[in-house]
Amino acid sequence: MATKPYQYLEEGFLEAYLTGIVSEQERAEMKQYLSENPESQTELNEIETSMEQFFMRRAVPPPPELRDAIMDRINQNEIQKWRPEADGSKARASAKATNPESQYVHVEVDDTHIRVHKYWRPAFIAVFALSKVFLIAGLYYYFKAGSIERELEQLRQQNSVQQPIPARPLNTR
Amino acid sequence: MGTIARAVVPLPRSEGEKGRLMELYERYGSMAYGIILQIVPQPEQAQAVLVDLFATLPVEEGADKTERVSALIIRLARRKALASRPGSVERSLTSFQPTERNLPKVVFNLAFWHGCHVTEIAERLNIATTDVLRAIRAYVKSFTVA
Repeated sequence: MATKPYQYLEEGFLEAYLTGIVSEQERAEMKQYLSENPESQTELNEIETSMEQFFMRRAVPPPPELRDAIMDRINQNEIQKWRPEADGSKARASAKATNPESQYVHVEVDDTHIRVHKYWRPAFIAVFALSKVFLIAGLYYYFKAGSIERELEQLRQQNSVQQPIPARPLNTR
Repeated sequence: MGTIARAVVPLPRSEGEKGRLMELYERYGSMAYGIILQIVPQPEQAQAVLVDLFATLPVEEGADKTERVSALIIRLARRKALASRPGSVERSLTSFQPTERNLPKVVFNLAFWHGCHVTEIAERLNIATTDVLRAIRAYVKSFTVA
């Protein structure tokens, strides 16, 4: 789109630029134009305001748990591990060493971890709690059975003391 | 020995940047989600795009200040949502039959929500690219009076 500067304002380039409809090349041209024509900033601000109002009217609240998901993702992105260099030594992967303008860093990960679905967490907690319940119940009934057995033995002994075995009649033969 | 994996991850963020991101999410999260849902109607996929958008949003010191942050979020939300759509999505324009009255809306819908380029819209609707841009301008102008 070979365009004369005034056309940027009159023909909708600003709107197309702000909504992201233009290609990367056109976007670069537009940025160049804006830097050379600061007076167009007023119009740009007006369009930005009306665009924000327009899309705010169509806002849909996301589920509350997405906030935590974003934080988790940000923290997850920060995991950088040591990588072996060509000479065998280990050095921290330098974020901007290879490309200072890049917001990304290439890292090699010697990964010993696995990722599992989030539903495994409550499942593990439930299994752990159940195992504790069964352990406590098992110990309780084990000791209870022991004490009952001892009690039974005592009762048998008491019974044998209180009721002596009746004397057998002598053999008259 | 574990598996050697190659990964590309964004640079770590400072606590200040994390706080700023969360502020922006509180303020513009609903707006971005509305845009994404319009392009990607499946809620799970739309939520994944929203998480990706705010986790990778450039809010570092020295970031491009020529654009308002709300405009940046609108642009990136649209771009990420369009990129996340299946490649086989058919952008059929045959169902769009613009009249003189609704041309700005049809053109904006095609360009913004469906990701069609200006020249593509001009060809399909058989109008000049300048008319496409004027239609977009007219529709965006109507935002203020809507």
